[in-house]
Amino acid sequence: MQGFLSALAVLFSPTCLLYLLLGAFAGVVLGSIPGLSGGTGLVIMLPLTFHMDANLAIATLVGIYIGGVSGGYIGSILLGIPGTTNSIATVYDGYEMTKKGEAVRALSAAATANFIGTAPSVLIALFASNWISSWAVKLGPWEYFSLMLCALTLVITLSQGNVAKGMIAMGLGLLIAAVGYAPICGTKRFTFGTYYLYGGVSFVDVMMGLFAGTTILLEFARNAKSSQADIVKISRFKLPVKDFADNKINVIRSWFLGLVIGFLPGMGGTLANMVAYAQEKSSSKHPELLGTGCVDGVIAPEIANNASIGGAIIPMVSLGIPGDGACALLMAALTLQGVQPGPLFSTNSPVLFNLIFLAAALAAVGVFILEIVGMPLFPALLKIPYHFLYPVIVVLVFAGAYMASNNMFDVFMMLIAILLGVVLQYFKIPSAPLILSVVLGGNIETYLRRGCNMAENGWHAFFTRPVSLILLIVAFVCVVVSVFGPLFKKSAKKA
Amino acid sequence: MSKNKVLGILTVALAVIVFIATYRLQLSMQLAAGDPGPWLFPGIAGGLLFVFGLMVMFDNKQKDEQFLSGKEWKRAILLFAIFVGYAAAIIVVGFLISSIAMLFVCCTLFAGEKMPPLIVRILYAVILGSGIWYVLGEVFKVTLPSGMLFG
Repeated sequence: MQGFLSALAVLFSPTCLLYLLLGAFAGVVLGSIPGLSGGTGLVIMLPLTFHMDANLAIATLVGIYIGGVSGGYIGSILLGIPGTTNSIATVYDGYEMTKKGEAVRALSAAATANFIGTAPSVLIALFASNWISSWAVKLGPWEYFSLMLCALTLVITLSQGNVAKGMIAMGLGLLIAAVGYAPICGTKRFTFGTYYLYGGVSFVDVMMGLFAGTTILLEFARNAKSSQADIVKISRFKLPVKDFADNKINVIRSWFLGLVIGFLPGMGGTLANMVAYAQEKSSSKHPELLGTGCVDGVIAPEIANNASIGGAIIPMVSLGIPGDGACALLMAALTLQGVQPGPLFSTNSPVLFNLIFLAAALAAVGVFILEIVGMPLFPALLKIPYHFLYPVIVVLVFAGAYMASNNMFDVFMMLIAILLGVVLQYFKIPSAPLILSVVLGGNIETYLRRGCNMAENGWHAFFTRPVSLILLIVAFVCVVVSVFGPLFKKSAKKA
Repeated sequence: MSKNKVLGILTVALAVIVFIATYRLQLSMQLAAGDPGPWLFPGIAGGLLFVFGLMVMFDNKQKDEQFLSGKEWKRAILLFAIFVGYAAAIIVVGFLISSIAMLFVCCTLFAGEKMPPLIVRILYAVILGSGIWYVLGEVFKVTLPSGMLFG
């Protein structure tokens, strides 16, 4: 309690508040620009924090982290180009809403979803982190594999309408994920003799190419942009009470999914937003509307990707294991300050421990206010002439691909991803299953093979460990329901 | 030939290539007992592509719709060629000069009937190109390519 109160006192000092809010503002701006991200802000600030007071450093970095995760939806909704990988799924309905002239409704829903996702998740993480961590250390690669298999079954949901093409997309995604050194044994796969591919294909390149590059290319080809500015209505933030009242179950489910997925190391908002979207599509009473400009498809991913923040912070502070890339940078900042995250963190540095969570919650409030105040500015972006706005986006997208690993090879991989995006659209292959498979593919193989290696009874351990078995059964039921559910509904309607 | 048939043939062909490449993978270390090896997941990927490629090949329900007209294909190919040229230019002359050129070319190309005056396009390209280079290189300390000619 003493640490909690001291952290509150530190947080509400004028200097700390200023640093936190500036960090949040910078994070939103960076997160909204395709090619950049909140991670860029964290990387830039990290060396500067060495000379800062530990509390100020953490408050600034947490502000950038929260702002970065939140800001990604702006590009997704207005341009069809996600600002960060956390907001990929938001494109599917958010951009369609913009095309229908409902940009502000989509932006308002996303801003509110961001707040609802972040604030409760970090507060729950604060009070429950030790308990959750003590339970989590009992999980092994068997449970992680089975959980990811559950997520992979959502590919079928994302392929509703043409399961065969969805499975082709999944095959392509797993193939992309297989490029590079194989996990465990280090065998080189599909590297074509170039060391640039030893580390695999960067997900940033795939995302930039599939979304940004393909969207710009095809919109130019069809000359589709010239009339869009006319239908954009610029207005203030409108609290989406009815939209959220109609989506109570969606909100709760997406929030829980985000919190749990954020907890899995290496997953975070990228997987959370895809899984939440797929789950909403699977559970919705009107799944055919998702993908056509339905606000449910904006609420689900944006709540989940922000709820994953609380989940990601828990293993970082309690076990010393970062939940995602941004948490890894936060951990580096703590280490620079001479603080070691882990089981003794809350005892040795109670003020910093509590400050991380409280700063995240306050940053969520600050970002929400910022997005409400700035709401009229965002759609105004679309009023900028297309021939002035899009060339800048093209340059930033190329820069973003280059910055993935500081070499031009990634830019050429992005160009290949653009061709892939055009091919997918030409043959009407859905991109969501491919994205999900690329995100999951590397880790799911690692956990499968690690699980086989570590247990004395090999692969049988996946079925003898209770939690893993339950998750495998859930995965099987998900497949059966996804495949046979629509058929059952059709025959019930006929009857 | 329908689009689904073409897709099916391409997918099955890719699957065969994947199977061959996977079969030829060579281990760099001994596997532990029970380890399925590096062949499993590429094999699963190839299997999915093969099976569902065949299914799509024989799916005649979906009617083909025009994706892009002839004129639209030409525009798409032109812009993609400019993308490739931009990437090549970054390698040769560096990020700053190639980005200024790219901004000018794209502004001209995207403007269509609403073409701004030449001086406006030049100023736009120089100011924004330099601005992006400065923010990324000097503020964010990203090491941007300076090009073979100036490196």
